[in-house]
Amino acid sequence: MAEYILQTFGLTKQYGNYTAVNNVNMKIKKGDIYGFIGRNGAGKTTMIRMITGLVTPTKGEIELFSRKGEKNMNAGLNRIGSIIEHPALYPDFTGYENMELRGKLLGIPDKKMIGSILEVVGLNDIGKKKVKHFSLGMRQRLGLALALLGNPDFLVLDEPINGLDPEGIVEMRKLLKKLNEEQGITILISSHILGELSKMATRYGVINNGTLVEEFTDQELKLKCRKYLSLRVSDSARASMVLEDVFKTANYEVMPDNVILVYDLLNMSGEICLELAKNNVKIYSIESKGDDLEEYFMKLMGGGHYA
Amino acid sequence: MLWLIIIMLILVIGVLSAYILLYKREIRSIVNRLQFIREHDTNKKINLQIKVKEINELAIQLNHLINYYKTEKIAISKAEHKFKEEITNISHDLRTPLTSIAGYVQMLESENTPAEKKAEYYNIIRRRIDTLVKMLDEFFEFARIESDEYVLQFEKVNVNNVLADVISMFYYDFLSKCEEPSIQIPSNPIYIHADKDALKRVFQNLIKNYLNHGTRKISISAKEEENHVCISFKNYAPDIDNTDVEKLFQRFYTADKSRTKSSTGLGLAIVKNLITKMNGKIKAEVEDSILVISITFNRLEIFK
Repeated sequence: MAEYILQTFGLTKQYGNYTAVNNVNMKIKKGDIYGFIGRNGAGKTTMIRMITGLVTPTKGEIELFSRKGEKNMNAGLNRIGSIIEHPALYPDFTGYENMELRGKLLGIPDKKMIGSILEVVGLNDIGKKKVKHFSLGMRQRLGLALALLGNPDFLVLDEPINGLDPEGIVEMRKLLKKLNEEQGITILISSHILGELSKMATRYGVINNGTLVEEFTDQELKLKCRKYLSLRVSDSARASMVLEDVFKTANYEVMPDNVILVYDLLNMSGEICLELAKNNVKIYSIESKGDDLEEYFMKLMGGGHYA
Repeated sequence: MLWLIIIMLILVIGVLSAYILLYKREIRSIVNRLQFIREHDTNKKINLQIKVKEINELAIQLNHLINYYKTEKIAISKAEHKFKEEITNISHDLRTPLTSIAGYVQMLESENTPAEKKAEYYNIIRRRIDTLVKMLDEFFEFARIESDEYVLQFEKVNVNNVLADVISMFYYDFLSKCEEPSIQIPSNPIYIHADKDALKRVFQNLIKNYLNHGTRKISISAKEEENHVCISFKNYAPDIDNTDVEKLFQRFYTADKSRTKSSTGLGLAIVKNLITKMNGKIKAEVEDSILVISITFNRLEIFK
């Protein structure tokens, strides 16, 4: 059931001569928490503004909920809840009043919804405090509550963790995970700090200089950052026997298609090749894999310029 | 006078038809929304344009229904996902040992393999098959305990006796680990309301877990506190940090990611399940690289 919530095709935005977003093909599947990573000025916000219909693209197409075209785009936008930069709040009203007003605007029949959503974001017992006296974290949570009032299928959050204290980050992460798991809301969340996303995202997109450098899943990332030797051989049964018999290791895994992942013996690839060959096992490929997570992202994000 | 009445009537009819039109529009919009919700996988609910008591109540009731349907659906898809994951895990657990067995069989078939090597390979194959059988037993056991048909036989049990029995069963295993365990069990009996066999299995699994994964020595203690008893298992575990600890009781979780040892990641899941069924509590913590698994049960009042 590979249903895409969002797909973009060659999405490009130019401001005069400056290309903010260049030919981006982004894919977000239903149920994903999509971590959108890039340095400041890499094009994240422009991209998000195009997705939420705030800016029209110079070139390219956006497909929301598997539908294209302007009319469908508007219908799709109704199913998106978003916080872009700062949430729009009425500073002289309390949190509840802010919610009430939005609720009236949307025509929410049941006022109890407001209470239960405030409870979900952890703002249910703040009493009569006006929004202008709220902390940054509380504002962000109220912004999220307002976005949730429309029962969105897709939440688009631009740097929601920006400026939160460590405790606030942990809470926001828990909250978003809960919304994703319990209500099945697909989430796009942007950040320039990997650590903020790495415990939450199920899929990543890395943007650098307006170009989407790479997209990968959480599992792919884990695999990328685990050090091991990947062998593709002619006969995995015999190869596994050689590994045990000669190298005395049991720290390996047999994958489908005659691929073996060896987690030991990282610097003995030469010896492994020799022994396998002696035992009539052909080696089609041998690769040493594994990157440091932080380093890997820096590489993708073009952090090398600063090093 | 007649004209006045006619004008009044026309006015009334006008107002009424405006009302009817509004109602019709609202109902149409509810119908459209319902159709949208039925055809799409969405969180959307019914919203209203006008506030009329009856329609409002209708919308609230419909939203409750939609909510119910939505939560059911999410629960089902979650369970499905979990099921698929477990199938993948099981096939994963079986593939690696089976492949290596196939490798050894090939070597047995080869004429170039010397006889003494062959004997060694037979041995390895036998051991592998044994662990596979053990693993399958564990899967079966887990499924049995998870099912509703598994009923515990509660009785008055002396925890100290059961614990001491289980520890003595593993005497030789402790010796082969070259570490003498430190054991502190009070001499007076401590009674709880539990299933004796289930309790045995809990202690066995915890000790096996240490034997398979733990290093250095284990300390096992039972302590009486006011109205409960606390049994704790402590051992040195440098590889586990506090994020792993939460996952320890999840099924199929093994800290050793390559899953090559003969562990299925079910042992501790079974422990947790049984403890919960016996109304006890279990928690795991890591302090200075020491893994502490502690179990608490309510004590039975001793009537004299």
